[in-house]
Amino acid sequence: MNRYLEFARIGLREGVVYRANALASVATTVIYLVLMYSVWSAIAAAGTLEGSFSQVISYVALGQVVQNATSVDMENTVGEKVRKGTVVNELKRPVSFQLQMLSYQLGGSLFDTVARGVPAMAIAVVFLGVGSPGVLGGLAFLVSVVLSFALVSLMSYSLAMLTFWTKVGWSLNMMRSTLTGLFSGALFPLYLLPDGVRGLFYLTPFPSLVDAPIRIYQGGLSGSVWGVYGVQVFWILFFAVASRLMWGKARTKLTVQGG
Amino acid sequence: MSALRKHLSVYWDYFKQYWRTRLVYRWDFFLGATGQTVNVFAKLAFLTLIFTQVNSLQGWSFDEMLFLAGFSGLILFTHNVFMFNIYRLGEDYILTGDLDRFLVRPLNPLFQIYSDDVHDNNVPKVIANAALVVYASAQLGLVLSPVQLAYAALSFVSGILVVASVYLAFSSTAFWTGTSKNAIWLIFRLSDFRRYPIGVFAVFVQALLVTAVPLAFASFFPASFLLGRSAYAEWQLVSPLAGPVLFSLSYIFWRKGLSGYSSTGS
Repeated sequence: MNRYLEFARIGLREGVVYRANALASVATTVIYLVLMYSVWSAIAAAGTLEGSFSQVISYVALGQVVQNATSVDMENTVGEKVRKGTVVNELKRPVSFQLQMLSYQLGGSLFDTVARGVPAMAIAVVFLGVGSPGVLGGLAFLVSVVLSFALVSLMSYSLAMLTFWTKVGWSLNMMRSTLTGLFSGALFPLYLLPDGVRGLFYLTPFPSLVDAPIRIYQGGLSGSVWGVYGVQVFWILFFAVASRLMWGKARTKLTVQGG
Repeated sequence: MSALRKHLSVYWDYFKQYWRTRLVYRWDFFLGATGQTVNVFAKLAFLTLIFTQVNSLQGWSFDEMLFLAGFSGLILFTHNVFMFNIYRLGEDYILTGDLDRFLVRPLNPLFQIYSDDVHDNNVPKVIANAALVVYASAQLGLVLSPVQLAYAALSFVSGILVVASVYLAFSSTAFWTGTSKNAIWLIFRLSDFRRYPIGVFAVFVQALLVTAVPLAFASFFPASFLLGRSAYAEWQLVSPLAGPVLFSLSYIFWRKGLSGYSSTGS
Protein backbone atom coordinates (compact mmCIF):
# COMPACT_ATOMS: atom_id res chain seq x y z
CA MET A 1 0.00 0.00 0.00
CA ASN A 2 2.78 2.38 0.95
CA ARG A 3 4.45 1.82 -2.38
CA TYR A 4 1.35 2.95 -4.23
CA LEU A 5 1.05 6.00 -2.01
CA GLU A 6 4.54 6.90 -3.16
CA PHE A 7 3.42 6.76 -6.82
CA ALA A 8 0.45 8.95 -5.99
CA ARG A 9 2.78 11.41 -4.29
CA ILE A 10 4.93 11.61 -7.43
CA GLY A 11 1.84 12.26 -9.54
CA LEU A 12 0.70 14.95 -7.14
CA ARG A 13 4.11 16.61 -7.16
CA GLU A 14 4.14 16.67 -10.94
CA GLY A 15 0.71 18.29 -11.00
CA VAL A 16 1.99 21.01 -8.66
CA VAL A 17 5.07 21.62 -10.83
CA TYR A 18 2.92 22.07 -13.93
CA ARG A 19 0.36 24.23 -12.14
CA ALA A 20 0.34 26.72 -15.03
CA ASN A 21 -1.59 24.05 -16.94
CA ALA A 22 -4.29 24.10 -14.28
CA LEU A 23 -4.49 27.87 -14.50
CA ALA A 24 -4.83 27.68 -18.28
CA SER A 25 -7.60 25.13 -18.00
CA VAL A 26 -9.53 27.37 -15.62
CA ALA A 27 -9.20 30.10 -18.26
CA THR A 28 -10.43 27.78 -21.01
CA THR A 29 -13.36 26.83 -18.79
CA VAL A 30 -14.27 30.49 -18.44
CA ILE A 31 -14.05 30.97 -22.22
CA TYR A 32 -16.22 27.93 -22.83
CA LEU A 33 -18.82 29.09 -20.31
CA VAL A 34 -18.92 32.57 -21.90
CA LEU A 35 -19.58 30.91 -25.27
CA MET A 36 -22.26 28.61 -23.89
CA TYR A 37 -23.89 31.42 -21.93
CA SER A 38 -24.07 33.59 -25.07
CA VAL A 39 -25.40 30.83 -27.29
CA TRP A 40 -27.99 29.53 -24.85
CA SER A 41 -29.19 33.08 -24.06
CA ALA A 42 -29.72 33.63 -27.78
CA ILE A 43 -31.60 30.34 -27.99
CA ALA A 44 -33.73 31.23 -24.99
CA ALA A 45 -34.45 34.64 -26.54
CA ALA A 46 -35.37 33.15 -29.91
CA GLY A 47 -37.58 30.24 -29.08
CA THR A 48 -39.22 28.01 -26.60
CA LEU A 49 -36.52 26.33 -24.64
CA GLU A 50 -37.51 23.10 -22.99
CA GLY A 51 -37.21 23.71 -19.27
CA SER A 52 -35.66 26.95 -18.08
CA PHE A 53 -32.57 28.81 -19.24
CA SER A 54 -31.10 28.66 -15.74
CA GLN A 55 -31.48 24.88 -15.69
CA VAL A 56 -29.60 24.54 -18.99
CA ILE A 57 -26.80 26.89 -18.02
CA SER A 58 -26.29 25.29 -14.62
CA TYR A 59 -26.21 21.87 -16.31
CA VAL A 60 -23.49 23.13 -18.68
CA ALA A 61 -21.56 24.75 -15.82
CA LEU A 62 -21.76 21.62 -13.67
CA GLY A 63 -20.57 19.63 -16.68
CA GLN A 64 -17.43 21.77 -16.70
CA VAL A 65 -16.98 21.24 -12.96
CA VAL A 66 -17.20 17.46 -13.32
CA GLN A 67 -14.92 17.40 -16.36
CA ASN A 68 -12.30 19.55 -14.67
CA ALA A 69 -12.41 17.45 -11.53
CA THR A 70 -12.10 14.16 -13.42
CA SER A 71 -9.59 14.97 -16.13
CA VAL A 72 -7.44 11.94 -16.86
CA ASP A 73 -4.94 11.19 -19.62
CA MET A 74 -3.27 7.82 -19.36
CA GLU A 75 -3.17 7.20 -23.12
CA ASN A 76 -0.38 9.73 -23.56
CA THR A 77 1.44 8.82 -20.33
CA VAL A 78 1.55 5.12 -21.16
CA GLY A 79 2.00 5.73 -24.90
CA GLU A 80 5.13 7.75 -24.30
CA LYS A 81 6.57 5.05 -22.03
CA VAL A 82 5.85 2.39 -24.64
CA ARG A 83 7.26 4.40 -27.53
CA LYS A 84 10.46 5.32 -25.70
CA GLY A 85 10.76 1.86 -24.18
CA THR A 86 10.99 3.20 -20.64
CA VAL A 87 7.94 1.10 -19.81
CA VAL A 88 10.42 -1.65 -18.89
CA ASN A 89 11.23 0.36 -15.77
CA GLU A 90 7.65 0.03 -14.58
CA LEU A 91 7.56 -3.64 -15.54
CA LYS A 92 10.73 -4.44 -13.61
CA ARG A 93 9.24 -3.27 -10.34
CA PRO A 94 7.63 -5.91 -8.15
CA VAL A 95 4.29 -4.10 -8.19
CA SER A 96 1.26 -4.27 -10.48
CA PHE A 97 1.61 -2.10 -13.59
CA GLN A 98 -2.05 -1.14 -13.50
CA LEU A 99 -1.97 -0.04 -9.87
CA GLN A 100 1.23 1.92 -10.44
CA MET A 101 -0.35 3.83 -13.30
CA LEU A 102 -3.65 4.33 -11.51
CA SER A 103 -2.07 5.61 -8.30
CA TYR A 104 0.17 7.94 -10.25
CA GLN A 105 -2.91 9.27 -12.03
CA LEU A 106 -4.79 9.54 -8.74
CA GLY A 107 -2.08 11.82 -7.36
CA GLY A 108 -2.13 14.07 -10.41
CA SER A 109 -5.92 14.19 -10.40
CA LEU A 110 -6.04 15.06 -6.73
CA PHE A 111 -4.27 18.27 -7.65
CA ASP A 112 -6.55 18.82 -10.66
CA THR A 113 -9.68 18.36 -8.58
CA VAL A 114 -8.62 21.13 -6.24
CA ALA A 115 -6.89 23.45 -8.72
CA ARG A 116 -9.41 23.07 -11.55
CA GLY A 117 -12.63 21.66 -10.13
CA VAL A 118 -12.98 24.05 -7.20
CA PRO A 119 -12.51 27.28 -9.24
CA ALA A 120 -14.93 25.94 -11.86
CA MET A 121 -17.47 25.31 -9.10
CA ALA A 122 -16.92 28.80 -7.69
CA ILE A 123 -17.52 30.33 -11.12
CA ALA A 124 -20.63 28.24 -11.58
CA VAL A 125 -22.08 29.32 -8.23
CA VAL A 126 -21.07 32.99 -8.28
CA PHE A 127 -21.63 33.95 -11.94
CA LEU A 128 -24.08 31.42 -13.29
CA GLY A 129 -26.34 31.09 -10.28
CA VAL A 130 -25.98 27.36 -9.75
CA GLY A 131 -28.03 26.66 -6.64
CA SER A 132 -27.02 24.58 -3.65
CA PRO A 133 -28.22 20.95 -3.62
CA GLY A 134 -28.19 20.88 0.19
CA VAL A 135 -25.70 18.99 2.35
CA LEU A 136 -26.94 15.49 1.56
CA GLY A 137 -27.43 16.31 -2.11
CA GLY A 138 -23.91 17.70 -2.23
CA LEU A 139 -22.54 14.53 -0.67
CA ALA A 140 -24.50 12.37 -3.10
CA PHE A 141 -23.07 14.47 -5.93
CA LEU A 142 -19.52 14.03 -4.62
CA VAL A 143 -19.94 10.26 -4.42
CA SER A 144 -21.07 10.24 -8.03
CA VAL A 145 -18.08 12.40 -9.08
CA VAL A 146 -15.76 9.92 -7.37
CA LEU A 147 -17.42 7.06 -9.28
CA SER A 148 -17.10 9.10 -12.46
CA PHE A 149 -13.39 9.53 -11.75
CA ALA A 150 -12.95 5.79 -11.23
CA LEU A 151 -14.76 5.11 -14.48
CA VAL A 152 -12.84 7.63 -16.56
CA SER A 153 -9.54 6.33 -15.17
CA LEU A 154 -10.37 2.74 -16.09
CA MET A 155 -11.60 3.77 -19.54
CA SER A 156 -8.45 5.74 -20.15
CA TYR A 157 -6.31 2.90 -18.83
CA SER A 158 -8.08 0.41 -21.12
CA LEU A 159 -7.37 2.60 -24.13
CA ALA A 160 -3.82 3.08 -22.90
CA MET A 161 -3.36 -0.66 -23.30
CA LEU A 162 -3.91 -0.17 -27.03
CA THR A 163 -0.81 2.03 -27.18
CA PHE A 164 1.18 -1.21 -27.01
CA TRP A 165 0.02 -1.58 -30.61
CA THR A 166 -0.35 2.03 -31.80
CA LYS A 167 2.77 3.34 -29.93
CA VAL A 168 1.16 6.77 -29.79
CA GLY A 169 -1.58 7.80 -27.40
CA TRP A 170 -2.71 11.02 -29.02
CA SER A 171 -5.32 9.59 -31.38
CA LEU A 172 -6.79 7.30 -28.71
CA ASN A 173 -7.04 10.16 -26.26
CA MET A 174 -8.62 12.42 -28.86
CA MET A 175 -11.13 9.74 -29.84
CA ARG A 176 -12.15 9.26 -26.21
CA SER A 177 -12.53 12.96 -25.51
CA THR A 178 -14.55 13.46 -28.69
CA LEU A 179 -16.92 10.62 -27.85
CA THR A 180 -17.11 11.78 -24.24
CA GLY A 181 -17.97 15.30 -25.38
CA LEU A 182 -20.71 14.04 -27.64
CA PHE A 183 -22.38 11.41 -25.47
CA SER A 184 -21.68 12.37 -21.86
CA GLY A 185 -23.58 15.63 -21.54
CA ALA A 186 -20.41 17.75 -21.55
CA LEU A 187 -21.37 19.38 -24.85
CA PHE A 188 -25.12 19.77 -24.31
CA PRO A 189 -27.73 18.73 -21.74
CA LEU A 190 -28.86 15.21 -22.52
CA TYR A 191 -32.38 15.88 -21.26
CA LEU A 192 -32.96 18.14 -24.27
CA LEU A 193 -32.52 15.24 -26.68
CA PRO A 194 -35.52 13.55 -28.31
CA ASP A 195 -36.51 10.46 -26.30
CA GLY A 196 -35.33 7.85 -28.80
CA VAL A 197 -31.91 9.43 -29.26
CA ARG A 198 -31.47 9.88 -25.53
CA GLY A 199 -32.21 6.20 -25.01
CA LEU A 200 -29.37 5.34 -27.37
CA PHE A 201 -27.00 7.68 -25.54
CA TYR A 202 -27.83 5.99 -22.23
CA LEU A 203 -26.79 2.63 -23.63
CA THR A 204 -23.19 3.89 -23.77
CA PRO A 205 -20.91 4.32 -20.74
CA PHE A 206 -20.44 8.04 -21.40
CA PRO A 207 -23.49 9.54 -19.60
CA SER A 208 -22.15 7.92 -16.41
CA LEU A 209 -19.18 10.30 -16.65
CA VAL A 210 -20.89 13.69 -16.66
CA ASP A 211 -24.66 13.44 -16.94
CA ALA A 212 -24.94 11.13 -13.91
CA PRO A 213 -23.43 13.46 -11.28
CA ILE A 214 -25.33 16.43 -12.74
CA ARG A 215 -28.64 14.62 -12.57
CA ILE A 216 -27.98 13.85 -8.93
CA TYR A 217 -27.05 17.48 -8.29
CA GLN A 218 -30.10 18.87 -10.07
CA GLY A 219 -32.55 16.16 -9.16
CA GLY A 220 -31.98 16.21 -5.43
CA LEU A 221 -32.19 13.07 -3.38
CA SER A 222 -34.96 11.15 -5.05
CA GLY A 223 -35.14 7.39 -5.31
CA SER A 224 -33.22 7.36 -8.60
CA VAL A 225 -29.85 8.10 -6.96
CA TRP A 226 -29.14 4.44 -6.30
CA GLY A 227 -30.07 3.60 -9.87
CA VAL A 228 -27.60 6.19 -11.17
CA TYR A 229 -24.87 4.82 -8.89
CA GLY A 230 -25.73 1.30 -10.05
CA VAL A 231 -25.17 2.12 -13.71
CA GLN A 232 -21.91 3.88 -12.88
CA VAL A 233 -20.67 0.89 -10.88
CA PHE A 234 -21.67 -1.47 -13.69
CA TRP A 235 -19.46 0.41 -16.16
CA ILE A 236 -16.61 0.61 -13.65
CA LEU A 237 -16.67 -3.19 -13.30
CA PHE A 238 -16.97 -3.57 -17.07
CA PHE A 239 -13.82 -1.55 -17.73
CA ALA A 240 -11.97 -3.10 -14.79
CA VAL A 241 -12.46 -6.52 -16.39
CA ALA A 242 -11.78 -5.23 -19.91
CA SER A 243 -8.52 -3.59 -18.87
CA ARG A 244 -7.35 -6.79 -17.14
CA LEU A 245 -8.00 -8.80 -20.30
CA MET A 246 -6.29 -6.22 -22.49
CA TRP A 247 -3.29 -6.07 -20.20
CA GLY A 248 -2.92 -9.83 -20.63
CA LYS A 249 -2.68 -9.35 -24.38
CA ALA A 250 -0.62 -6.15 -24.26
CA ARG A 251 2.22 -7.49 -22.09
CA THR A 252 2.97 -10.25 -24.59
CA LYS A 253 2.85 -7.69 -27.39
CA LEU A 254 5.50 -5.41 -25.94
CA THR A 255 8.37 -4.73 -28.30
CA VAL A 256 10.92 -2.32 -26.95
CA GLN A 257 12.21 -0.14 -29.73
CA GLY A 258 15.95 0.32 -29.59
CA GLY A 259 16.66 3.83 -28.32
CA MET B 1 10.55 34.14 -58.03
CA SER B 2 13.55 31.90 -57.56
CA ALA B 3 13.28 32.53 -53.82
CA LEU B 4 9.74 31.22 -53.93
CA ARG B 5 10.82 28.18 -55.90
CA LYS B 6 13.59 27.49 -53.43
CA HIS B 7 11.19 27.66 -50.48
CA LEU B 8 8.70 25.41 -52.22
CA SER B 9 11.32 22.84 -53.04
CA VAL B 10 12.65 22.86 -49.48
CA TYR B 11 9.11 22.54 -48.22
CA TRP B 12 8.52 19.56 -50.48
CA ASP B 13 11.58 17.82 -49.05
CA TYR B 14 10.42 18.44 -45.50
CA PHE B 15 6.96 17.28 -46.51
CA LYS B 16 8.17 13.93 -47.85
CA GLN B 17 10.37 13.45 -44.79
CA TYR B 18 7.40 14.12 -42.55
CA TRP B 19 5.26 11.44 -44.18
CA ARG B 20 8.02 8.89 -43.92
CA THR B 21 8.16 9.26 -40.16
CA ARG B 22 4.42 9.70 -39.83
CA LEU B 23 3.45 6.45 -41.47
CA VAL B 24 5.60 4.50 -39.05
CA TYR B 25 2.70 5.00 -36.66
CA ARG B 26 0.02 3.84 -39.05
CA TRP B 27 -2.61 3.06 -36.44
CA ASP B 28 -2.27 6.42 -34.81
CA PHE B 29 -2.73 8.05 -38.21
CA PHE B 30 -5.82 6.03 -39.01
CA LEU B 31 -7.46 6.42 -35.59
CA GLY B 32 -6.63 10.11 -35.51
CA ALA B 33 -8.24 10.73 -38.89
CA THR B 34 -11.37 8.83 -37.83
CA GLY B 35 -11.53 10.68 -34.54
CA GLN B 36 -11.29 14.07 -36.23
CA THR B 37 -14.14 13.20 -38.57
CA VAL B 38 -16.27 12.12 -35.62
CA ASN B 39 -15.33 15.43 -34.00
CA VAL B 40 -16.83 17.43 -36.88
CA PHE B 41 -20.05 15.46 -36.55
CA ALA B 42 -20.15 15.98 -32.79
CA LYS B 43 -20.12 19.74 -33.30
CA LEU B 44 -22.83 19.40 -35.96
CA ALA B 45 -24.91 17.39 -33.53
CA PHE B 46 -24.81 20.36 -31.15
CA LEU B 47 -25.95 22.70 -33.92
CA THR B 48 -28.75 20.31 -34.84
CA LEU B 49 -29.83 20.14 -31.20
CA ILE B 50 -29.97 23.96 -31.06
CA PHE B 51 -32.32 23.97 -34.01
CA THR B 52 -34.67 21.50 -32.36
CA GLN B 53 -35.29 24.36 -29.89
CA VAL B 54 -35.43 27.30 -32.30
CA ASN B 55 -36.09 28.04 -35.97
CA SER B 56 -33.48 30.73 -36.30
CA LEU B 57 -30.67 32.11 -34.18
CA GLN B 58 -30.34 35.90 -34.40
CA GLY B 59 -32.13 35.64 -37.75
CA TRP B 60 -29.77 32.96 -39.04
CA SER B 61 -31.28 29.76 -40.37
CA PHE B 62 -29.83 26.29 -39.83
CA ASP B 63 -28.37 26.17 -43.35
CA GLU B 64 -26.82 29.60 -42.98
CA MET B 65 -25.21 28.50 -39.72
CA LEU B 66 -23.90 25.40 -41.50
CA PHE B 67 -22.38 27.63 -44.15
CA LEU B 68 -20.75 29.81 -41.50
CA ALA B 69 -19.37 26.76 -39.70
CA GLY B 70 -18.14 25.20 -42.93
CA PHE B 71 -16.53 28.31 -44.39
CA SER B 72 -14.74 29.28 -41.18
CA GLY B 73 -13.77 25.66 -40.58
CA LEU B 74 -12.28 25.43 -44.04
CA ILE B 75 -10.09 28.45 -43.27
CA LEU B 76 -9.11 27.35 -39.77
CA PHE B 77 -8.22 23.76 -40.61
CA THR B 78 -6.38 24.59 -43.84
CA HIS B 79 -4.26 26.88 -41.67
CA ASN B 80 -3.80 24.10 -39.13
CA VAL B 81 -2.54 21.58 -41.69
CA PHE B 82 0.40 23.76 -42.70
CA MET B 83 0.97 26.35 -39.97
CA PHE B 84 -0.09 24.80 -36.68
CA ASN B 85 3.42 23.81 -35.66
CA ILE B 86 4.10 27.28 -34.26
CA TYR B 87 2.18 26.26 -31.14
CA ARG B 88 5.22 24.23 -30.05
CA LEU B 89 7.51 27.27 -30.16
CA GLY B 90 8.02 27.58 -26.41
CA GLU B 91 8.16 24.01 -25.16
CA ASP B 92 9.80 22.29 -28.14
CA TYR B 93 12.00 24.92 -29.75
CA ILE B 94 12.94 27.65 -27.27
CA LEU B 95 13.28 25.67 -24.03
CA THR B 96 15.12 22.82 -25.73
CA GLY B 97 17.35 25.21 -27.68
CA ASP B 98 16.28 23.50 -30.91
CA LEU B 99 15.57 26.91 -32.37
CA ASP B 100 19.36 27.29 -32.76
CA ARG B 101 19.31 24.73 -35.54
CA PHE B 102 17.02 26.98 -37.56
CA LEU B 103 18.98 30.12 -36.90
CA VAL B 104 22.22 28.81 -38.36
CA ARG B 105 20.55 27.78 -41.62
CA PRO B 106 20.21 30.27 -44.50
CA LEU B 107 16.41 30.12 -44.47
CA ASN B 108 13.76 32.16 -42.69
CA PRO B 109 13.44 30.57 -39.21
CA LEU B 110 9.66 31.02 -39.13
CA PHE B 111 9.38 29.22 -42.44
CA GLN B 112 11.46 26.41 -41.04
CA ILE B 113 9.19 26.03 -38.02
CA TYR B 114 6.15 25.89 -40.25
CA SER B 115 7.80 23.26 -42.48
CA ASP B 116 8.97 21.15 -39.55
CA ASP B 117 5.62 19.42 -39.14
CA VAL B 118 2.44 18.75 -41.10
CA HIS B 119 -0.72 18.47 -39.06
CA ASP B 120 -2.27 15.86 -41.27
CA ASN B 121 -4.92 15.04 -38.66
CA ASN B 122 -6.64 18.25 -39.78
CA VAL B 123 -7.05 17.01 -43.36
CA PRO B 124 -10.26 15.08 -42.60
CA LYS B 125 -11.62 18.27 -41.03
CA VAL B 126 -10.75 20.29 -44.15
CA ILE B 127 -12.61 17.76 -46.31
CA ALA B 128 -15.61 17.60 -43.96
CA ASN B 129 -15.89 21.40 -43.84
CA ALA B 130 -15.57 21.72 -47.61
CA ALA B 131 -18.43 19.24 -47.92
CA LEU B 132 -20.38 21.33 -45.44
CA VAL B 133 -19.92 24.48 -47.55
CA VAL B 134 -21.09 22.65 -50.67
CA TYR B 135 -24.07 21.12 -48.89
CA ALA B 136 -25.15 24.37 -47.23
CA SER B 137 -24.76 26.34 -50.47
CA ALA B 138 -26.94 23.82 -52.30
CA GLN B 139 -29.59 23.93 -49.57
CA LEU B 140 -29.63 27.72 -49.68
CA GLY B 141 -29.59 27.82 -53.49
CA LEU B 142 -26.58 30.08 -53.19
CA VAL B 143 -25.26 31.36 -56.53
CA LEU B 144 -22.18 33.54 -56.29
CA SER B 145 -21.58 36.41 -58.70
CA PRO B 146 -18.05 36.80 -60.16
CA VAL B 147 -17.40 39.58 -57.65
CA GLN B 148 -18.49 37.35 -54.79
CA LEU B 149 -16.34 34.50 -56.11
CA ALA B 150 -13.30 36.75 -56.18
CA TYR B 151 -14.22 37.95 -52.71
CA ALA B 152 -14.51 34.34 -51.51
CA ALA B 153 -11.04 33.47 -52.81
CA LEU B 154 -9.45 36.61 -51.38
CA SER B 155 -11.13 36.33 -48.01
CA PHE B 156 -10.18 32.65 -47.81
CA VAL B 157 -6.48 33.49 -48.20
CA SER B 158 -6.84 36.52 -45.95
CA GLY B 159 -8.65 34.38 -43.37
CA ILE B 160 -5.79 31.90 -43.27
CA LEU B 161 -3.42 34.80 -42.60
CA VAL B 162 -5.73 36.14 -39.89
CA VAL B 163 -5.67 32.79 -38.10
CA ALA B 164 -1.91 32.55 -38.64
CA SER B 165 -1.44 36.02 -37.16
CA VAL B 166 -3.34 35.05 -34.01
CA TYR B 167 -1.34 31.83 -33.56
CA LEU B 168 1.94 33.60 -34.30
CA ALA B 169 1.29 36.49 -31.92
CA PHE B 170 0.23 34.27 -29.03
CA SER B 171 3.02 31.75 -29.63
CA SER B 172 5.63 34.49 -29.78
CA THR B 173 4.93 35.37 -26.16
CA ALA B 174 7.02 32.25 -25.54
CA PHE B 175 10.15 34.31 -26.17
CA TRP B 176 9.42 35.95 -22.81
CA THR B 177 7.53 33.20 -20.96
CA GLY B 178 9.09 30.03 -22.35
CA THR B 179 5.71 28.41 -22.96
CA SER B 180 3.31 28.68 -25.85
CA LYS B 181 1.06 25.64 -25.60
CA ASN B 182 -1.20 27.03 -22.89
CA ALA B 183 -1.69 30.32 -24.75
CA ILE B 184 -2.58 28.39 -27.90
CA TRP B 185 -4.96 26.22 -25.93
CA LEU B 186 -6.92 29.38 -25.11
CA ILE B 187 -7.02 30.33 -28.80
CA PHE B 188 -8.18 26.84 -29.56
CA ARG B 189 -11.18 27.28 -27.31
CA LEU B 190 -11.85 30.82 -28.55
CA SER B 191 -11.90 29.57 -32.12
CA ASP B 192 -15.20 27.82 -31.28
CA PHE B 193 -16.76 31.31 -31.31
CA ARG B 194 -16.37 31.39 -35.09
CA ARG B 195 -19.47 29.21 -35.54
CA TYR B 196 -21.96 31.79 -34.33
CA PRO B 197 -23.29 35.13 -35.61
CA ILE B 198 -21.31 37.80 -33.80
CA GLY B 199 -24.49 39.43 -32.53
CA VAL B 200 -24.95 36.50 -30.17
CA PHE B 201 -22.12 37.76 -28.00
CA ALA B 202 -21.87 40.52 -25.44
CA VAL B 203 -20.14 43.69 -26.66
CA PHE B 204 -16.82 42.96 -24.92
CA VAL B 205 -16.65 39.55 -26.60
CA GLN B 206 -17.40 41.14 -29.97
CA ALA B 207 -14.62 43.65 -29.34
CA LEU B 208 -12.25 40.80 -28.52
CA LEU B 209 -13.10 39.06 -31.80
CA VAL B 210 -12.02 42.06 -33.88
CA THR B 211 -8.98 43.11 -31.81
CA ALA B 212 -6.94 40.75 -29.63
CA VAL B 213 -8.29 37.60 -31.27
CA PRO B 214 -9.61 38.93 -34.60
CA LEU B 215 -11.14 35.66 -35.74
CA ALA B 216 -14.31 37.43 -36.90
CA PHE B 217 -12.38 38.45 -40.05
CA ALA B 218 -11.85 34.78 -40.80
CA SER B 219 -15.41 33.66 -40.12
CA PHE B 220 -18.43 35.84 -39.51
CA PHE B 221 -17.69 38.88 -41.70
CA PRO B 222 -16.69 37.12 -44.95
CA ALA B 223 -19.34 34.42 -44.53
CA SER B 224 -22.12 36.95 -44.01
CA PHE B 225 -21.00 38.85 -47.12
CA LEU B 226 -21.17 35.66 -49.19
CA LEU B 227 -24.62 34.96 -47.79
CA GLY B 228 -25.71 38.40 -48.98
CA ARG B 229 -26.32 39.82 -45.51
CA SER B 230 -25.85 43.56 -45.50
CA ALA B 231 -25.21 44.21 -41.81
CA TYR B 232 -21.59 44.99 -40.85
CA ALA B 233 -20.87 46.10 -44.46
CA GLU B 234 -17.65 48.01 -43.62
CA TRP B 235 -16.26 45.03 -41.71
CA GLN B 236 -17.08 42.74 -44.62
CA LEU B 237 -15.19 45.00 -47.03
CA VAL B 238 -12.00 45.14 -45.00
CA SER B 239 -11.93 41.36 -44.39
CA PRO B 240 -9.86 40.50 -47.51
CA LEU B 241 -7.26 43.03 -46.34
CA ALA B 242 -7.27 42.09 -42.67
CA GLY B 243 -5.08 39.00 -43.14
CA PRO B 244 -2.01 40.61 -44.72
CA VAL B 245 -2.14 43.56 -42.31
CA LEU B 246 -2.58 41.49 -39.15
CA PHE B 247 0.00 38.92 -40.18
CA SER B 248 2.54 41.69 -40.81
CA LEU B 249 1.92 43.03 -37.31
CA SER B 250 2.37 39.58 -35.79
CA TYR B 251 5.50 39.05 -37.83
CA ILE B 252 6.99 42.27 -36.44
CA PHE B 253 6.16 41.01 -32.94
CA TRP B 254 7.81 37.66 -33.72
CA ARG B 255 10.95 39.43 -35.01
CA LYS B 256 11.06 41.47 -31.83
CA GLY B 257 10.92 38.34 -29.73
CA LEU B 258 13.47 36.56 -31.88
CA SER B 259 15.93 39.45 -31.65
CA GLY B 260 16.00 39.02 -27.87
CA TYR B 261 16.37 35.23 -28.07
CA SER B 262 19.45 33.69 -26.57
CA SER B 263 19.95 29.96 -26.62
CA THR B 264 19.45 27.85 -23.51
CA GLY B 265 22.73 26.28 -24.38
CA SER B 266 21.55 22.75 -23.76
